[in-house]
Formats: sequence, C-alpha cells, structure tokens
Amino acid sequence: MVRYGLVINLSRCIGCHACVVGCKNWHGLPAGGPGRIRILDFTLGTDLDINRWILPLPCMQCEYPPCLAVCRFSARVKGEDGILKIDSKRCVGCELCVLACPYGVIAIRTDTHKADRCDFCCDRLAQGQNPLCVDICPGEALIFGDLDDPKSAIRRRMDHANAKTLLKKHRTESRVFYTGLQAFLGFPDAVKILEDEIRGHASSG
Amino acid sequence: MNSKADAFSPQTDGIISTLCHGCSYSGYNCGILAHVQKGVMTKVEGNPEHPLNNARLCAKGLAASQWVYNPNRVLHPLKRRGPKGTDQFERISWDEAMETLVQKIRETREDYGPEFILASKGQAAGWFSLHHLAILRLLHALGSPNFSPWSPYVCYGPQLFYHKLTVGGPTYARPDYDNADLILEWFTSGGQGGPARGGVETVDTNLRSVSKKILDRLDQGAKLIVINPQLIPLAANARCDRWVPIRPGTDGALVLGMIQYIIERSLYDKDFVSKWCSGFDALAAHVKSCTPHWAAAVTGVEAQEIIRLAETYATTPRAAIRFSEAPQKKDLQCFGTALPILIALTGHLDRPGCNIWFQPSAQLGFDVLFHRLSKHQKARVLGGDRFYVRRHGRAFAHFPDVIRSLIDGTPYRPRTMLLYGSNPVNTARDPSRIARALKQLDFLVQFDVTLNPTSCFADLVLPAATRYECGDQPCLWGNHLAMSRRVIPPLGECRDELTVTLDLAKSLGLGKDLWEGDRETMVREFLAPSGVSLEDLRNSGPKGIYLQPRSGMKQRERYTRFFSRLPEGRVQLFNRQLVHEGFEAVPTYQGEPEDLSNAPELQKAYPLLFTDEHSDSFSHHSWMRDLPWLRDLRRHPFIKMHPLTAKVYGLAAGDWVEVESPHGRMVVRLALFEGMRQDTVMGQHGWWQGCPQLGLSTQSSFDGGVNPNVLYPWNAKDPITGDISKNTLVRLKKHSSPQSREITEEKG
Repeated sequence: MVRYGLVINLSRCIGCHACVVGCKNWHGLPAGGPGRIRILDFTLGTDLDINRWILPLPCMQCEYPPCLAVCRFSARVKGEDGILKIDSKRCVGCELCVLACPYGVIAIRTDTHKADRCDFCCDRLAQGQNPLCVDICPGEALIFGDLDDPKSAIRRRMDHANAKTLLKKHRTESRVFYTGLQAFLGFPDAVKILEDEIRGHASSG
Repeated sequence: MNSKADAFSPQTDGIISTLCHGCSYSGYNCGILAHVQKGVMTKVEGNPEHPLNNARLCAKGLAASQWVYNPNRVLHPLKRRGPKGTDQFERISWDEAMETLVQKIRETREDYGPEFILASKGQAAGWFSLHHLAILRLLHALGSPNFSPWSPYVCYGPQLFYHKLTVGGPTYARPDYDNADLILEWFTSGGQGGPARGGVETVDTNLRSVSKKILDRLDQGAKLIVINPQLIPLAANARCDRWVPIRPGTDGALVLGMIQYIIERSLYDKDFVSKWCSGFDALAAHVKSCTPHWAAAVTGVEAQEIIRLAETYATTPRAAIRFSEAPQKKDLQCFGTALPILIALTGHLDRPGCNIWFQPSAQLGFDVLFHRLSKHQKARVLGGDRFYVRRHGRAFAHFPDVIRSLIDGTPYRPRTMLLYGSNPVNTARDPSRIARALKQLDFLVQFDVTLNPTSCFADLVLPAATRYECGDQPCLWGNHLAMSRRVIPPLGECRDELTVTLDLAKSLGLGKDLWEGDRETMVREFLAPSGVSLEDLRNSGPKGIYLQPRSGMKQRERYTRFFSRLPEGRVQLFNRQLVHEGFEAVPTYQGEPEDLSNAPELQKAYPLLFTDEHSDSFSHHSWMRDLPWLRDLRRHPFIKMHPLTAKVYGLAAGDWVEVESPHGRMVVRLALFEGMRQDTVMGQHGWWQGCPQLGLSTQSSFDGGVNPNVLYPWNAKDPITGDISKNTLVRLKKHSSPQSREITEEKG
C-alpha cells in the first residue's frame, strides 16, 4: 500500500504563491477564501543579520489527525491511501476542526460554508499525476511520492537531506516534511515564532 | 470580421496547448495546457513539454480563467457620451465603431497629414511582437512615422541604450546562471514577476525572474548577493550570502565606488582592458575621488561592505550580475554606463558564468514598410532629433516627446491616436500631465480588455479579445518555435485586435499593403523566416518545433562581432559617442534631484525616501489586480516600511496613511517589513483597479489616489533618454480609510 507524502524544500521556495493560486484554479475555489495552502512570510533577527523565512503550509496529512478526532459528524474520512478528505455531505461547517488543527490549514469555504483543505489532489492522483502544486511550482520546491518506496524521489530526498516535520510536539506524525530548515531551527525561539506566525494572520505575501 | 481567422473551430471539450499570457514581452511565453469543458475554459496547468517552463507556472498564469471571464471585461464597442475625463460611454455596433475610426483617420490624414496619426502599444499581457509589427506596417502604409511603444522606451529601453552604447552587443549581456559561481541580484524583484519562466536568456528582457535557474545554481554551491533597499523573496530561506540594502536611486555611486577600488587595487582584468577597452586612463582619473568611503556616504552601505563586494565580484571569475531598472532615472547615464563598465573592466563580459549575449536561431517577422516613408515623413517623427532616438536607427516616437508635443504643440500636435493595450494615465509619470496631453487629441481609440483610467480620455473603446480567444500566433525564442492557439471563441463581441488592425487597413484602402486583410496570410509571412510551415506548426502539439540551433551559439568571447558598432571596436570606458553628442564621456554621479544629498532642505519637511517597485507575482503593471485569486493575496494598495520607522511616526501595520511628497499625495495602507531600509518607504506602481467580487472599489490614479506616480518630479528627466525620476522625499500621516473613487479625473 502506498503512503503518500510531500517534501517541501525551503531552499527552493521563493514565496511566489503559484501553489496557492494554482490550487484555487484547479479546484475551482471561490474568491475571497483562504484557499488550501498558507504561506507564512516573516523575518528573524535584525539589521544586516536579518533572515526572511517563507514557509508554505498545506494540510500536513497527519497520521494522527486532531481534526479527525474532534469531528462529531464523521465528516473526516481517511482513505485507503491514508489521505485525509472531507465528506462535504456530512460536514456542517462547525469549525471545530479549524480550531483543532495545530497548523491552521483548515478553513471554511466561503461558498459552501463547509470545511475545506488540501487532499493531495486526489483527482489528479487517480489519473497518475502529481498534485498540481508539485507540477507547477516555479522553484521546483516540492517532491511528492510514496514514503514507503525506498526508490521513490521523495524517500531519497528525505534520507539525503534530513527532512523534518513542523511542530513535532503535537505528535500528529505529519506526512509533510521540510528540508532546508536547519538555519531556521538554529535560531533562538524559532519554534515559538513559528507557532505565533501560524496562529497569526495569513500572510499577505 | 475576418472570417478566415475563425476558420478552425474551437473544441468544446478537451485540453488545448497554448502559451500563457500572464505577461509578455517578446511573444514567447510559458507553455500552458488549458482545460475546456462545454466551451468554457475552466482551468489551466503548465505544459510539461514546453522547454521554457516544463510544467511550471506562476500565480498570474494560473489565474488565466479569471482573466478571461473577468466581469469587468468590455464586451462590445463603446463610444464616448460624456465629456473627456469621465467614463460615460454608450454601446455601439462594430460597424459604427469602424466607420467612425476610418473616417477620423481619413480626416486627420487629409486635413493635417499622416504624421498626425499616432499609434502606441503598451506592455499589455499577451500582446505579441506580431501585433507590434502589424501596427507598424499599418502606420507606415498610412505614411506616419509616429509609433510610440512607450512602456519599453521609458523604463527598459533607456538602460539598454546605455548598455549597448558602452559594451555593444545586440542586447543586454545577460547572466549565464548555468555556470555562475556568484550571482549579484541588482535591484531585481527576485522571485516576483513571472517566476515560472526558465531563464532570462530566453526572453528579451531582464525583468523576468529566473527562479529555477538561479535556485539550481545555488543548490550547486553558487553564492547569491542581493543589492536592493529591501530583502527580496529570492533572498529568503537562508539563500542569500549577503544583503546590501542600498539607498534607492544611488546605485550609480555604488558602482563607481566598486570601480574605484578595483582600479586602485589593480583587481581589474588587465589583459582584457588592454585588448578590448578604450579610455582606461581617463576613467581611472575620473573615478579617483569616488572611493568606497565616498560611496558609503551616498548609498548608505558601509564602506567595508562596498570593498568586500568589489573584491568578491572582481576576484570571482564566474560572476554574473542580474540587473533590473534601478530607480536611478534622472541620473540614468551614470548607472546605465557604469554597470556595463564594471562588468567589462573585471573581465566578466561574454565569458562562461558571467554576463553573456544570447542570439536566437531566427527572427520571426515581416517587412514593416519603413522604406515607404519619405525622407520628410521620417524627419517628422516626434523626438526624432534626440540622440537616443537616432541611435536606434529606425525612427520611433519617443513617449516623453509625444506628451510634450501634445501639451505645447511643438513641433506639432498629433490629432488621432490608436492605443493598443496601454494605460499611461496610470503607469506614466505624471498622471495629470498625461491626462492633459491626451485631452488635446481630437480622437483617441483604445483597444483593451477592460476600461481603465486612460479610457476616460478615449473617444472610442474597442473590446479586445484575450490571447486565449484569438487564433494562431507563432512564437519563437532560441531555437524553439511554439504556437499560441485559440482556446475558446471571443466573449461577447470581442475581437482579436490583429484582425481589427487588418480590417482597418482594408477599409482605409490599404488592403494591398496588409495582405488584403487576411490574417492567415499575414501569419504565414510572419512565420516564414523560420522555414517552418503554418500547417506543421499548427500540428506540432504541445511540444512545438525545434529549429536547428544557430552555429556558434555556445561560442564566447565574441568581442570582434559584438563590439563592431563601438568606436574602434572597443568597450567605451570613455564614451566617444556621448562626447560627440555633447554629453559627459564618463559616468559621473549626480544623484536624483530629490534625494538626501541634493535636497537637504526638502528633507526637513519630507524626511523619508520614496520609490516604488515594479510588477510582482500578482499583477502585471496596472493589470490583473481585478482578478480575485490574485487580489486575495494583496488586497490593498500599500507602502512597505520598517517597523521602527513606523514607530517614530506613530503608525501601525494596517493603518491607512497619506503619503505626501512636494508634488502630490496618495492614500494607501501600511505594511511593516523588517527587511526594508529604515530611511526608505517603498510603494508599488500600477494600482487603481477595484475587484467587485471582493467588494473592493476602483480608486483614483490622480493626486490623492493610490498611484505613486503622482509623487515624483515629472520634469526631472535624463537629458539624453528622457527617463523620468522615480525618487522623491515624503512625509506620512495617518488617514481614515479612503472612500471609493471613480476612475475619472479629479474634480476641480
């Protein structure tokens, strides 16, 4: 059985928001909504030692998803491929999952008023394609594939580049990994700043 | 309407391979796959077989369906009803529109002369070189020399002019990322502005972002240095080796400081200089006083940093500079000539990993009938007496001179103007002066996809189809030939402006000069230089066609060839052509008129430096801010400022602020950004659009609106190219949230 995952190589993310817009375009998401990918954009340090960080946040596709745990309407579905989806027929838009997600990547759609988030483009996977954001990323920062396949590009990248998940302490076992984070994590209070940014407003780019 | 153009019927369902039209300069854009369902273009993705982008696509390209189905689109011809300066129009038929237009052109030609008819094409997304040539041909057939491609000739063109004047070549010497060990990003928007494209060398502009190539090279260990008042996105995520936060408008001083140090320490390429440069001693003597310490005081960059930068650049054999338009405009001669001198002096010209020249396999096109203009007609081109225009060989009407001639009637005042995809009232400096000029016209016809502030001065607005609604357009770069295809039929009564141009020619009795109005014949002739037939290209699918690469494309150090137009065939460290024309021979820093050194008195009342950045990933100049997916990402016109500076002035993030310069005011929202120089306020040009789907209304391009162009001293121009200063000093004060405003002219 496949276990899909995503590696985001921060060294190649230039914060261009193509993934955000491409996703809205592919899934026909309404204007005015947050969409399915957040881009954090913030600085650390001061003066010439300043560092700018740009971090894309899709649904982390957790093994132990807090959103699934809190849903009272069984609107959260985990497919055989392990991909979390939302059953929009059952979802009542109560926002509990929005609050439960430590990454802040679930939002209520402005048109259907139901919860919405990334599902790795299931429609494209069924056609043998990558999620759209992976294919269109101008920096080629995203690697998608089967985490259990030792020969897959994603596995090789993870083994090679010391990929890390964000906010490990929540123990959700995210399937979205980041590389190029070393310099960030070496910064005092990095995790706290990241949490603040996640809780804060979505980036204006 | 030309029926042949519509001969191939659009598919009602399926995926059509075409080219993206999120931006456009020379006609060759990213490959795109457009999905069509029941005749509706539903979504797009990148074309994996297109060599420029290999499936990658940026936010603008990905918003294509909103671009096409934009509720603001003009869907039928409009005739002015209210007075000029208002946006009151009434709907008319195409027949009436064309009759009016033909009559006006005839009248102007008969009553005044053909040169009183002026055409201009802006930097409209998706409007290709083919359009450029077709308009030129129409104009020349009419007998007018006055074509003003104004956007390229007020920003990109002047800098290119100085570049070629200094180091020759067919175009800019562009960074060879593939082999560079050091990449200097000099006032580029790095990572913004069409980031999906594969490389700057594939397009005829240096504005393009080239994310992938740079990132690839950084992954392989190259170093990145960013010279910019702000920390650009490309510098984020620990990619940047050093950030040099330069004061806007002082770039020339930084280059001179580097040159001085490099000469003093003998870090220049002596062999190259003795073989290929002339005027070294004059330059060395001239820059003697431009020490790094002097440059530090001007640029706000520490002397030690300037020395380090000079040393790093001069001693890295494979070092490439990517430069965009630094906001040094009035004093452009200094930066425009000093930068190529720095490149040449250090032996970084046309060598692997440095700044090199690229040449395409072939050039598509057809004769634009320039020879049909009489000597007299050629001499009537507006601004034709300028060295800048003369040096280009072929006459074009220089935009600042067009505006001047409209306002004061010297040497004469044009009467009729055809405006293709352009919005100078918003994008040029200064808006009210541009408006005043356009009001002087008897007749202004505008082709565009939506109304814009410039429409308020148009007598006739023609609904242009987007490229996705138009037929065949062959596009070539390097040795790759691709086809822009029709995805859906034009919405409403929109028409391909190419067919409109051809129809117009026919109605004017110029059919025999413009292929009897037949678009397909024109396209065949355009494509002919490639040696590929239209049928083959149509059938080439998403892959397109690869031509035989031109021999010698990989050759470097082609100095004999590329310096051939320079005096003595050598790089002009001391510029003889400029001397001959009565200008300064060596780069001399003067600074912008309204900066810290030239306007200390002004600074007491207006304490902060102001400039603005060009397009970003979410807009194309003054277009596309009405597309909700893009507008979502940046809802309000804004300035960026350092949080400490904001604190000093009692301002907080999200405040609406009035930005006031000695020349005008604008009201925008404050964004705080730690990666900004503390003495600088950065705006962004092109704002005016509303976005009804997000409840955002249109705002004024004039004084008190949201347009940074009102803030600059419009009469501070580079004497050679006419480039207008985009530096000034401002003060800020908190403002209430602005009322919605019409796009019409200011009252009173």
